[in-house]
Amino acid sequence: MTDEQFERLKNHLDASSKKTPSSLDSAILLAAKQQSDARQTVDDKRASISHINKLKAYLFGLMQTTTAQSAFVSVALTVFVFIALALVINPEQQDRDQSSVAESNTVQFNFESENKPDVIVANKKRILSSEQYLMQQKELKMPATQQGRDQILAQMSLPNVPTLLDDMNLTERDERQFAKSLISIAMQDIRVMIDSQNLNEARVRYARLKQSCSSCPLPDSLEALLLMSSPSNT
Amino acid sequence: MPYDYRSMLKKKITDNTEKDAHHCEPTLVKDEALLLAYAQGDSNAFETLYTRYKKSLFNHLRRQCSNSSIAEELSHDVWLAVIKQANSFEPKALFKTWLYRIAHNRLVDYWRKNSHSKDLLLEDLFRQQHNLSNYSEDHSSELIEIEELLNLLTELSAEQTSTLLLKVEGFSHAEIAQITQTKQETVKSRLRYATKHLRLSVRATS
Repeated sequence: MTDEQFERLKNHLDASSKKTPSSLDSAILLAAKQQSDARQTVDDKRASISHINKLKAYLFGLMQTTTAQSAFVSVALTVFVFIALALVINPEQQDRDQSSVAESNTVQFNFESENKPDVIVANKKRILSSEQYLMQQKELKMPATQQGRDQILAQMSLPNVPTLLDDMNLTERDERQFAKSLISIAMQDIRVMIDSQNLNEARVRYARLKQSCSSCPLPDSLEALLLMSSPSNT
Repeated sequence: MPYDYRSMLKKKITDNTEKDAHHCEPTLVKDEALLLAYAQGDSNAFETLYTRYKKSLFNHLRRQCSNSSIAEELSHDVWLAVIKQANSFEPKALFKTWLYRIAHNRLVDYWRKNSHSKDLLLEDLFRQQHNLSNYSEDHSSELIEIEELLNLLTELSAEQTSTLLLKVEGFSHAEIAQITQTKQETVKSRLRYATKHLRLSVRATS
């Protein structure tokens, strides 16, 4: 692909892109703020500890060089500094501050699913007339030999896509549109392959269609599809 | 003397006169500078960064998952990883490359437990095709183009699809190799395969 083709693919994808849910945005921004606040608190405490350490060093030096009376005062001041240090640094509080951020990282927020039916999931839930559709396969006279099956592909016409879709009884508009696009493209490919006598490639292409369109109650083989769709079978 | 990236970026934040040729606003602050500012406590910087990339990242993830809820969870995980690791980000690579590398790792973890899915990606293109076909103006060339792309995308493996989507996001081969932790040659070969497949599809449909 040329750069221009990549650019066009990007344009097509951008035209159908979705916005992020507001609940996601809120959760992320809140987590970012909490983490930022937690970092700021830790930084502030580190600064306090650094100042207090410097003060401690000064007081220890003072204790060593003064007289007894001054030494008593120095000791009292030192004790006061230690008490202040203990009040400032509370490891448990530090852990709690950080753990609230950690906990928020694991908060499960409720992803409310939209009311629109998921195309793929809806397919599994709906009741299809696939039984009726598949029942027809049992009545088909599938040839036993490879030559017979090749003749089916070579001689019979591919089904009309709208008729095929009607037989599938797809109720959701999105499902139908999804299936229509997949089947239309696949039928075009298969037609070209059959016309150029690449029958096995046509069968592989059909298998891929069946795999990619799980909502489509297609018969197991391409030959079965052609047999079912032929006028003599109706 | 080793080049000090952090000092360079700090200076950029202070000056705020960086001109980015790719953006309309001449004083737009670069991503790496914003992340550094956030690491130093500026939560508004993170908000700017998040607003820039939230949509593209979210859509990149949803196009490789089976549904939007999964994409939301993955997106949530990726951004939380960014928040936690902001302090340790080394500006040797671009922020965008780093962000998408985290996203790719999350995707790979997801694919290990669930299969790769292109359902939403194909659905987006089908929807686009449907929308274009409803217009009264002639969009036949675009419709054919989308059909070709649909043909191509159904053929590609998870890694090939991921590489193609990263290329569409504007990453170079070297950056894609960093993101997917593969060699550049592997990236080129995956894209070459995609191109070859596209030509075959075009021949088949014509």
